[in-house]
Amino acid sequence: MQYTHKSINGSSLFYAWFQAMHTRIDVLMYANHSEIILISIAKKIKIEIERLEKLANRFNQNSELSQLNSNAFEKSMPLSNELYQIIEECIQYKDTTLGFFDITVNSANNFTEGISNINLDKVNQTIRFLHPDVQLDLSGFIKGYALREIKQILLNANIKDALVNIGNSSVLAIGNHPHGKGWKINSNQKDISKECELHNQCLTTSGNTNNTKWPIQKPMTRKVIENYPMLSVITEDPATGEVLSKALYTANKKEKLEILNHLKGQIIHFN
Amino acid sequence: MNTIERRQFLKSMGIAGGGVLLASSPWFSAFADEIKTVGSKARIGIIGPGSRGQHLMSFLVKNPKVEIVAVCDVFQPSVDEALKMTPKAKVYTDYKKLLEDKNVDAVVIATPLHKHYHMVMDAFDAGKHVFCEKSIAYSMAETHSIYQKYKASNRVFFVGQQRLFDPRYIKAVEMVHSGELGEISGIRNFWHRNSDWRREIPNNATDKQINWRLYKDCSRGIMTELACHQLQIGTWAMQEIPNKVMGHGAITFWKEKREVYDNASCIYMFENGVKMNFDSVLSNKFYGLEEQILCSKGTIEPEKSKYYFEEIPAAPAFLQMINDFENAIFGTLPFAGTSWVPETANSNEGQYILDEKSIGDGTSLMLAAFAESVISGKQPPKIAEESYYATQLSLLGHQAMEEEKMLVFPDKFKIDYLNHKSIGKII
Repeated sequence: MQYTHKSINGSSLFYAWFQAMHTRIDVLMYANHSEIILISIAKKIKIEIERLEKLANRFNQNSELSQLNSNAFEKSMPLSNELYQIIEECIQYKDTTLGFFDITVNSANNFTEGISNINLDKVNQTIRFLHPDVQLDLSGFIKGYALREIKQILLNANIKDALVNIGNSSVLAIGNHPHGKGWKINSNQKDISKECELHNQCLTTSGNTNNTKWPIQKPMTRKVIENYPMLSVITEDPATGEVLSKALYTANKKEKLEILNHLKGQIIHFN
Repeated sequence: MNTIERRQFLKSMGIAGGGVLLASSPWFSAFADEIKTVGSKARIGIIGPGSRGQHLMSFLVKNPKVEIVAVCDVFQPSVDEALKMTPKAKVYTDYKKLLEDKNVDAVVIATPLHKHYHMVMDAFDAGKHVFCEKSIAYSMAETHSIYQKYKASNRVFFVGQQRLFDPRYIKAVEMVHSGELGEISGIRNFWHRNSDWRREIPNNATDKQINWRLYKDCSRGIMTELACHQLQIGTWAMQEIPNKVMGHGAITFWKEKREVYDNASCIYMFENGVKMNFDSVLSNKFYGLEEQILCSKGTIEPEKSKYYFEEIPAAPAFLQMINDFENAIFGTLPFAGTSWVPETANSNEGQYILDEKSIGDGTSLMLAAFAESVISGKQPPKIAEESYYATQLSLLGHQAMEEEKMLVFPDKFKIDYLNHKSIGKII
């Protein structure tokens, strides 16, 4: 983790950045805290993100999620309380997004019936896959979930003004910029008319570009979406933003409206 | 550059008006009284208006607080060129006569290195403020005597170490001192050219008059002409004087009519083991010049005006916001987009130290600061000392190359600055 700190008139502007979740993380805090305290908060955030990577990174063979993907068809797998709740929440989004958000979208052999082939046992807190091709992928959710956790860390540390960026696509804004109300965010193009203001909200962006390593697919057809402009949503809850941006990206106009009836969010088009 | 432009420029760099600038570059206090001194003039005499002297004059004549009242040179073509810039200046061929001129408050000395000593000493004796081109003098003993003379003179003393006023370098050192790049691990200076330094000799001049840099009894070559600038960056960044140096010099390519090295390397050692290198090859210019300050979290290259973090770079939008913080700007952060992946950042192209286009190499600001100091009569802190050690380290490096030995900085030439303490009192 690297950081820079500037102090003026007793207030600190602290910025830390590091690499995690296969992307960059930027943490900006404006507070009356000392530099040492702010460093410790930033470290706590980094530790939390690394913890979530160990929990839900499907590419890490030792992660809890990878263990499920390897073994849950053969036998019921016990789940940590946290992973159980994450999977349970994600399964619910399948309905509220009309099937456009699906954590089994990367199942083997283009299998499209993943969600209905999961047996989640609430009493024993276990999971069992009912089809050998089922695979869970939480990468479309975990950044938002991480921001939800980070928000709690910041509030617990009495940080009232902060901006946290995970890979430019997931942004959490708390409180205010040192010299204004809320936080003004734009896409890379410096066109003021396209900027949006965040007031204790999140901005989540989805889209397939040439640099996208794992492109977004339409879950029902497993078809990779091409030539769609990127889409951003403003939500109060970062995890909801993550779900919405993925779902809305592949949905048509009518489907978008219906999804937005279930999940609260505002669409932003930067380009 | 006028006062308003200068203020605006420094403000736009985020280094004006605050403690940060004065902490890393305290010599900017020279501008503290610039409003009060409006209408006043520093009356300056130019000793040696050759090519470098004329370059300095080109800035001085644009400064409304400067009047060039005299020029002195034995080489008439230089005088003729100087008078084109300042037609009313009185002409001297003997610098001692210029020093007797009561209309001269200060002198700018831009003569060959071996002539500096007597001219600077005499100028202080005559009660003049002094700006001397770098390096200060031909030997460590002369340099030390000049410093002692200055300290006893109650006059202003500047040396042509213009990087001290170069916005790129100021900001770079400020970043290093702030700790945001971590601890300094090493400093690599290099200055490569592909030329023999030889200048065409006019009909009425001797080779030594024009190409004095190539003669051993006039110059220390690469060390006093080039290294002097770069070694100063090392002490400025480290806030410490290195105590040892070893090196090797040779004439490897330009062998005709040359007495000074065209190929030189020195290693300076700081107390904590950090090393500062200086390399110069005059038969290859591919890498040009740079001062690379290698820190545990990043690298800074002030000449390129760039810095590079070791791991992923900081996001420019966030850094901009940090910079805007002092200026109370409620800016937009333009970074939102699809997921950033490391594959897009395979080449670390670094960040620019300054957003603004640089306004030259600091010479203009340095001369403006000198004029302000002449008018106010106040010597800005640390500038003479930074310059003193720039010269002494260059000369010590040269000596190490000549003797092919590792040399320790002699106690007798230490002054009270940073980690050094003088062994005697100044008389």
